[in-house]
Amino acid sequence: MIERHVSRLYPICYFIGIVIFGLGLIQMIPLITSLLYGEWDIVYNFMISGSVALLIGGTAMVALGKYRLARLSWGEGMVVTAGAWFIGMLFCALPYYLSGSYLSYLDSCFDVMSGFTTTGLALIQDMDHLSNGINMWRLLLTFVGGQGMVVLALSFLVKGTNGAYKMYVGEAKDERLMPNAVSTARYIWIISLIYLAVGTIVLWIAGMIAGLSVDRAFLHGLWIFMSAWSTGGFAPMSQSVLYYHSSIYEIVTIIFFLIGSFNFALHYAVLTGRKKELMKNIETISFTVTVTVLTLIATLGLLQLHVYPDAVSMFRKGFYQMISGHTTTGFMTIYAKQFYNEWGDMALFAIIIAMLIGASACSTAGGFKGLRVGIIFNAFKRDVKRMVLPESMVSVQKIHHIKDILLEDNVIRSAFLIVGAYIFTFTLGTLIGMLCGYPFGLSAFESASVTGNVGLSAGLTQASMPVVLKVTYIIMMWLARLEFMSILALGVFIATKVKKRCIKY
Amino acid sequence: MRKIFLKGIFGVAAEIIFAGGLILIGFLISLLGGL
Repeated sequence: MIERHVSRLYPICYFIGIVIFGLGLIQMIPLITSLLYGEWDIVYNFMISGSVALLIGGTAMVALGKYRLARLSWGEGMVVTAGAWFIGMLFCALPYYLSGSYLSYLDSCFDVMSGFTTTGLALIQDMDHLSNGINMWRLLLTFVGGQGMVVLALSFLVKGTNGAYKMYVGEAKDERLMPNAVSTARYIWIISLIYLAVGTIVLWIAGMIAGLSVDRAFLHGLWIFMSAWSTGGFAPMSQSVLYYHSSIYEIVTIIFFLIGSFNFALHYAVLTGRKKELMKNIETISFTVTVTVLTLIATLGLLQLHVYPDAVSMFRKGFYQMISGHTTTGFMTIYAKQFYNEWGDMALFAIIIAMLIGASACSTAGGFKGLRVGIIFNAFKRDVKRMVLPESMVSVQKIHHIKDILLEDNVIRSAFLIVGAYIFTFTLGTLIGMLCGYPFGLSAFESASVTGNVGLSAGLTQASMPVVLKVTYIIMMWLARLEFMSILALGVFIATKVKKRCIKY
Repeated sequence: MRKIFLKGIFGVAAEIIFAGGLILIGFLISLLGGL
């Protein structure tokens, strides 16, 4: 049964080819940036890498064009998504590697996967002196990955794709705002582009107030917005948001990454006039509760150790890292080592939980999502009611997410399964970190950051870390961002192909 | 068209106010911690 659903190689290759072609096309943006700033080496790098992607993607599109209208099964749609993210990573790492800013091709791949998955952990060397072209590429990858690159490529490069919705779900965005996946993807992109214009202007002004020159303030505003909106965490400077030493910049970034972490279905509801949805949606309620509780715990922990002496530094350092971790953004206003050396166990515990929970489903954020926390909480509430009240007094439990949803057993089971998969991945990542010789606290912090696609680092993630850990983190980022199912489908697809070949010979 | 545009503007304002509310919660907790 499974084999029949994920067995057709050529249609899968055709759709992956479209995505690779799309990734070649968007390399024109950093190429033009480099041209404008006269960074000729980087121009050549993008010409080479862009041509390779366009040539290979274009060849797949032309050679397999007859599969254009192929009706993909659920499994095949998911294989396309998982495959496109992995093969896309190999192509997008080429300009990084050619730039000479990485010690190995694996490090380049790590940063691409970190960008695609909006994680924000980086292995790049000498980040403070990167060319504008490479910085544009880093932040563009985050922006594109956050909104969903497979559906982006399909919605703008192909008309009338039968399997678009399956690929859209494969990118862990399972809520349909419009009648079909292509118009939903376009709407997501329209929302993002409107906010991109507003956010860049606001951060441009904030940058100039902070003392940057006009063009640097513009570029930094654009990049920081792209990263904030995608809850990505990449920043043009190694000190992240701390570099700007500006409370205005910090407040503006919090606003944009908070809004960026909202569910796209919630954006759609609010922007079409249903503003009350913000106050009654289970995700926003659950997010507000967990932010409040975890900030209280972290503040208590920081208070015990007298880490920050006054309310302003507690807010700008303590709350900023907490909200950045909870929305899975990863911007920092402290140095990485300060987490492990200064914060203490209680605050670290709170931020690890925040990173694992993450923000909203069908958004750019990672983690196991507030929606599932809300579902599990309500399931407990329902079961406790069943135990203590007479059966006649227990009504059907509902949750509100855009519309009222009955809390049925399959909804609860699905929430538990995904949360379980995240916890298993987190545990495995922590264990491998410890096997590589890192202490428990450091391994757990970094593993939570990778599993939640956050990007906060306590200093473990460096180019010098063991290869096995780099590969583990790449797989964890990929698994967590696509919420496991697509990659499991790809695994089944590969196993099926290998099995068939073994039987043949 | 004008109605859709206005709904969008008010929607963006509502989202910013909601985010502002969360920041206020963070600031109040920090204020308690800093006292």
